[in-house]
Amino acid sequence: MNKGKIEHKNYVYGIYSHEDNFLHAIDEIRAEGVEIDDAYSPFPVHGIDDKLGIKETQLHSAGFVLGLTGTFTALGVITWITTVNYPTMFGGKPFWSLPAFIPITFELTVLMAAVGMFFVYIKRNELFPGKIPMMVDERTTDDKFALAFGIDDKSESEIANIKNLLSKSGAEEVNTKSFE
Amino acid sequence: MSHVDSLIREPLILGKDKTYGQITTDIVRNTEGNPPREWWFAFGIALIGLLLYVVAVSWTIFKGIGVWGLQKTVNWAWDITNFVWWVGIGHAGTLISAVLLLFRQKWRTGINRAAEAMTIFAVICAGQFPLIHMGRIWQGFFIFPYANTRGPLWVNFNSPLLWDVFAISTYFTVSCLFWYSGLMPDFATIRDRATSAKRKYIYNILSFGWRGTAKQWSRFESLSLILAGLSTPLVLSVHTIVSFDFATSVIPGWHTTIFPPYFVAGAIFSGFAMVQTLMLIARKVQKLEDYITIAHIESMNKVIVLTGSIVGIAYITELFIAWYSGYLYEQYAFYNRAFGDYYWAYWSMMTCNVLSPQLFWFKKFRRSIFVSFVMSIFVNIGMWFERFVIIVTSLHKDFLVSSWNYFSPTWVDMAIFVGSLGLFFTLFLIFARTFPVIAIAEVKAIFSSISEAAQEKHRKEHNH
Amino acid sequence: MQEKIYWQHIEEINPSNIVESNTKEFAEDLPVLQGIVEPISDNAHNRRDFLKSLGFTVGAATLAASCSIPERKSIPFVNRPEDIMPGMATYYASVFAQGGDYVSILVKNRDGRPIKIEGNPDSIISRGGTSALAQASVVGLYDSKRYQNPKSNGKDVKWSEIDKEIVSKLDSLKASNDRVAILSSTIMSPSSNALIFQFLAKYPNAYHVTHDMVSFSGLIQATEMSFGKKTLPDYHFDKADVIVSIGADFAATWGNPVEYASKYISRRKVNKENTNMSRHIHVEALPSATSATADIRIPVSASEEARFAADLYNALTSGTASSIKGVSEVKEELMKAKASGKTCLIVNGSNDANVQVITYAINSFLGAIGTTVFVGKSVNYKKGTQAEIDTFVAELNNGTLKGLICIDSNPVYSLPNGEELGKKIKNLELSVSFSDKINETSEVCKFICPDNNFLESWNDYEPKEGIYSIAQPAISPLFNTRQYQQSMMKWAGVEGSYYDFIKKNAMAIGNGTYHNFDAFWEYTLQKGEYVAPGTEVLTSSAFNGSNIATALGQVQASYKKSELEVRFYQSIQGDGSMADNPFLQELPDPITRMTWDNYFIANPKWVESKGANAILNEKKFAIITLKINGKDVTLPVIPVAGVAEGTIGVKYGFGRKTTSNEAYNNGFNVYSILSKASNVSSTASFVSNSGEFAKLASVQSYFTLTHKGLGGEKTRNLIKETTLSEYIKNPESGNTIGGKGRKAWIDHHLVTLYPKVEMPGHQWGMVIDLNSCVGCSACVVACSIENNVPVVGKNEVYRSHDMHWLRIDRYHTGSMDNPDVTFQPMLCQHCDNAPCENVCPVSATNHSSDGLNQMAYNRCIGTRYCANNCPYKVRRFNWFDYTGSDSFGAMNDEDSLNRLDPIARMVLNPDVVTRSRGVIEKCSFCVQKIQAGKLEAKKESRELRDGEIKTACQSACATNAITFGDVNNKSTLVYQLTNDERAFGVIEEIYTKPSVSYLTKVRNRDNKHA
Repeated sequence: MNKGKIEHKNYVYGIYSHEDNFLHAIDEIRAEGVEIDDAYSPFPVHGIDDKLGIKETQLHSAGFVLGLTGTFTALGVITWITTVNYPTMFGGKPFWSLPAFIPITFELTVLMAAVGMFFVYIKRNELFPGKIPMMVDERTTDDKFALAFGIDDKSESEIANIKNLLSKSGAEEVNTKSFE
Repeated sequence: MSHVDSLIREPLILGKDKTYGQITTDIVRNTEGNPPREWWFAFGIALIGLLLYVVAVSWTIFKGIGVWGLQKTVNWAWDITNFVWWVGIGHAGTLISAVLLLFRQKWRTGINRAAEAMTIFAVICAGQFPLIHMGRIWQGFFIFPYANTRGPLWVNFNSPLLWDVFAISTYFTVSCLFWYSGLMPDFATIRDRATSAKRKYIYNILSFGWRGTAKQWSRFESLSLILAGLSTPLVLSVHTIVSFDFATSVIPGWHTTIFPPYFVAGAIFSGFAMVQTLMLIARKVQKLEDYITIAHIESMNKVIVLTGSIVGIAYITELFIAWYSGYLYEQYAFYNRAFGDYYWAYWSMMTCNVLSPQLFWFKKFRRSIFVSFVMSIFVNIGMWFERFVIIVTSLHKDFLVSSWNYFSPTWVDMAIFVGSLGLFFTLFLIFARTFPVIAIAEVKAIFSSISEAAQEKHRKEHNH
Repeated sequence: MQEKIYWQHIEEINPSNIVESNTKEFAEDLPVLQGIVEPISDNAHNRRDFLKSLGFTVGAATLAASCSIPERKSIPFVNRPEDIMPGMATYYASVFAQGGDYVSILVKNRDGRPIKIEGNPDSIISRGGTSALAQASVVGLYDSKRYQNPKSNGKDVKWSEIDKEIVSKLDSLKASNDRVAILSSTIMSPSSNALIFQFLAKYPNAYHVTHDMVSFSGLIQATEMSFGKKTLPDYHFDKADVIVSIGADFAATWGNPVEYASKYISRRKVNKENTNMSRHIHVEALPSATSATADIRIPVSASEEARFAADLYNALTSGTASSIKGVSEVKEELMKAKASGKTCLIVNGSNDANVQVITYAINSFLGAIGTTVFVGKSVNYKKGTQAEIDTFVAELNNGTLKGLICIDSNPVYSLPNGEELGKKIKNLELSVSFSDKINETSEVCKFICPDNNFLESWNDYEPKEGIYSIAQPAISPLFNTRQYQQSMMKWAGVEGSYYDFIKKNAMAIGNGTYHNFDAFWEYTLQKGEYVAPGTEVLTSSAFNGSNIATALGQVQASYKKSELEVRFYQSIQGDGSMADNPFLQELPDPITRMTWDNYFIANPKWVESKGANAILNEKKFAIITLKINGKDVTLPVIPVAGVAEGTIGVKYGFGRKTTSNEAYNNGFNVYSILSKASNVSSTASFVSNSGEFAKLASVQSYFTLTHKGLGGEKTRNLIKETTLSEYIKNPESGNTIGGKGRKAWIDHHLVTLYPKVEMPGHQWGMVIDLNSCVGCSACVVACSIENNVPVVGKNEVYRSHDMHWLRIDRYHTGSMDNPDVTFQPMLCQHCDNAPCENVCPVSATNHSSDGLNQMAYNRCIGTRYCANNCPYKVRRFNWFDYTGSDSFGAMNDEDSLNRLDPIARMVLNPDVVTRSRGVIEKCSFCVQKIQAGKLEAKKESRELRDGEIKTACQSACATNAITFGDVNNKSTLVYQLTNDERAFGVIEEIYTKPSVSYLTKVRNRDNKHA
């Protein structure tokens, strides 16, 4: 399974218009030992990850680490400011009055986790304003599902086999697409 | 394997011959072609409001806060009332998308996109007030803890007002991320339907070049789940912290430990009301009755009656505790609320927030578009008065009788409030014409989760 | 003692009020203060304003954030004048004398500019005290609206020219032997008197008339009738065990209040050692500042007040019963005092010679003459008598008078139907005004020879025989003005300067007491006062009772009780001669708490009976019309508790039509309707209630201290008081919290989660003795001037935008008709647990290591959170650019009070920054003075002495009600007082730990002691 990267110039892909057939097709084709390069769908299809053998993403771990960073940055900076850098008396409280620092610490934790994760997310998903998407078929964001196979390194016979597998699995169309 | 869904539950999507394609068209339609006349009309009014806002705020900054009705005893009134009111409204969106997502409340999908948008715009409006209420807005940057040229001079980490700065900005940022990450796939959908190259280009930029591969989707889901997990405590924290502005003070009527839960409930209350108002209009104007169904409206009303009752209990508890405290300043503060100079504000609050929502115990009213709409307006009025009552009646008669005073607003106070509504609706109307007001992908997802057979059945039912 | 009902105003006694105003509110549920913004916002905001503001807003942030504000360079002296040390204050002894006040002062100079008036502690008369008038007077110096040149027929001319013109006129009048009047207010200066004498010698056709705006003619005449001496008596309130005042507000406005107050209060201070407190009974028609400190107050109508002395005399001498309530009570009291050999003192505010004769008679009956009242050495505070005025007015009217020279007097304003006289004066052949500012009289005078301000002049004073003081100039004249004495000398052909003239006179006085004259001169200049040997020996000539019978008869005849009576009175805002002083205009009346106006005050019952109730929430007061002396007077009426039923009060000193600024023309000129310049009361009749309302600028809204709350009726113990006998039993009596003794309660209840913060070193604290405060408000003005607190004008005060750092709260106790009044000076309490500090997001307000709650103005961004969270509501916000110190230059485009004028700004204290628009300000405990004091001690490398540092309010106080110092230092007075049983902090139960303590008010209620 690819890492969500485009490795090929030319693709063969099949179009399905219902989720169920689409999912069956994945099973059938992988059963034949053919790796699927990309599976396009207009919405998150449940259970597709296992069928394609996609490992669970590590996004949440990133979030956790970043969150902790936030916590400690906040507490650290506040403590340094109020006790070392510029201790000031407010309303008869001690310089380091922890309860008062909790809200900001919490907010910074959430902020760092969220913002950090978002950037990790767009990085890993190769999303960026203005990026030209490499899509085999535009209808896949509307109502069609597609399975795509890179064929740059494949022989005529293999390609033929993929095509025929696709149509056998109930693809309404089987086309080829090439990116320059 | 696709979900087995119960056919007992009322369908979340209505209308005959719904297909994925149909869903796309229904929703994207509103971003294509010229807006209808109603829209232009509404937009015009909103713009006038916005202009009023600009004038009033400019005048304030030019002359000084003195052009407001504030005085030596009542140093906050409409400004902070509006702030808290808007922040409260800004709670529904994130709550709907985050909390309901965690609770797997599928009905949220119909409304969450618009609700989140509303949240963001409401927070934008809210954010105005802490700024413009400053005597020296041009020094506003002092509230950020930046290393500065004035020697090691920092902010005061004990101040609830500073907590607000962090809470509101964090809340705003996270809401935006949450909202936008959900928008990317839908922008992609619009992009791929687009006929003109220009439109394609713009929406591609907005979509960050979304492709919709399985891997992207899996990260997408995991991101929204975690953001939801983060937003839930966040959304609760924001109004808690706003309530600290009052709860941590010494003023009778402000110095109240019940405030955090009470404010949060109030926030959800007003937020849902505002969502309700907008939804009811949007579904009509944008012809989305099939996606924002009576079922949605009813669920919203259930939340409203619940939170409304929580708020009601809070009011009564306050009164009880005031009496029970045996502390005369506290006792008088609350007596003064109900029977003092501003009794009319208190009782309008009580009527709008506590009494009227009780209607929603009856299914008939819960499912009536008209009642829901009127009620949603009521609640928004009531919640504005709640903040006014808390702020002004507590301040105008506090400890030293010698400084007791009576507050009356000036035209500027009013213009700024009305104007902020203008700002809000301007933003919302632009959103309604350019963005997918319903989360396309998510709707498709729940649509698909109805098995093929069910979909068949579903279509048949709606054919006759 | 059982709980008292505290209240401030008629709110709860007048339930109908509440109903009324509430229904009103309901009708228009949110009353919009439309047009309120107008005066500031230059009425309609036209397109240009809009564009301006729009453009401004866009630029504002960037500007302020990026551009630096243009620097103003200050150039140092090239050769420094001796005795001017930049940044160092120098003090010059001088005198403030005006309308009877005699205050020996020290003028504080900074870089050659007088900027503040301090009391002169070496004076044996004012004893370091000052009055509000004295404090405010320095502002008058820097009035750019003063005459800057002599004027002849409205044109600026040279002095030489005007002298020539006037002298020729004088000579021609002399030739034709036409009468010329020199009209002056009381002149306490021996030299000036001598000078006028010489002038009269040169011009025998001229004569001198003394006219006091608020006349003491009656008292002076009475003294003449009873002692054969035309002077005021010398009252010694400190010598009296029992004081009965009949309508004399002696501690605040009557006679020479600074002297009287300090002596009076010296016998009102109590502590565990000394409980020998005098007893003070006050009989009056209108509540006054003085009666607030009284032990017993007896309200009587105006006519009864006038007759009271007579009835009391009869009661005392022949036991005749009286119809006036209180007479018998007072008689008992006095008899008892007489029997037990206590010293008594009766003072009477009436201006009727007969009444004063009787008052003397009572005094002599009680043996007060020679013990508390002395008629020996003359007292020169006031000299004007009715007779002189009458002749003057007669001659002016019948045209025998051809010339008039006005010295520090304004007859057109201050004489009955002055405007008529004004027309006459216009037609006089010679009319000269020495006024330094435009006023009603100078307007009609042909020649204006502007006098110097008193701070620019040399002068000498003899307030009392044997006490001689010299006023030295603190600055050379700002404008082309000339001291009036100098002018008189020119015209009288006296050679030399007035300075030499004074010196020559002084020769006679200082003779012999010092080894040479210069020593005497230097000493007096420096000390401010010279007391001739033997002055302290008080003697009094005997009382001659021959006139009593006639006096009694006439009093009985002339004062009949009528249905409605009016009593004219003077407030701490002065008699009107200083009405163009914004600081006095904005000074709240101690009783009504009103600024910028005069009005009728009346008993609430009466007000209600006329359907003239006020809308208190909106500070709107019904406008009614009364007929007084046949003239209609239309003014708003204020219901004031304690005003005798059937009596209306209205104060002098307002309705100045011609001043440098329209803003000072407020209210109605009472002088114009007096039947006789000396009248203090008159009958009146109600004409109509216009049904309209006037917006009055009150600073304290009317609400009650006792409230119906959820817990039923409860009282706020903001004020704590007790009676003398209670106090003697238990010094902590009255000082309770929730029924328990204060100390016990505090130790038991005030606990915190936080570790105790140790505060070593200095800890500044203040103690205010509620017993000693007479509400004279000198401290308020002193504070404003010391700390550059802006005056904001009538409309702003109406909008509750007043800026006073120190205010004197007024609370009522007891019945509506005769309440006890208590004053509570309220300023920043500098709490150790200050609620305001916690909430400031930018640390603009925080706590200093020596216990000050400090403000960093340039750090403040104006969220006003601190002001909200201040339980004492002492923080003030700069709603507009009041001081012209805004980052963007003066935004306050129409500065109606002319305070941004460069000359007016010369009075600003360079040690205190002016605050720009949009920042919070408040009392700083005069931190600039604290720092200066510390520096002084440091330079001399010694410890600070107790009392070395005095705050502005403290040093202004004539009665030493305020004590300031280091509460960490056990040797200080403030330490002892803070730990006294009488000390309490206001609402200390919320654990703010205020640094300001108050001492419970002790009233000598039951005549067991003293």
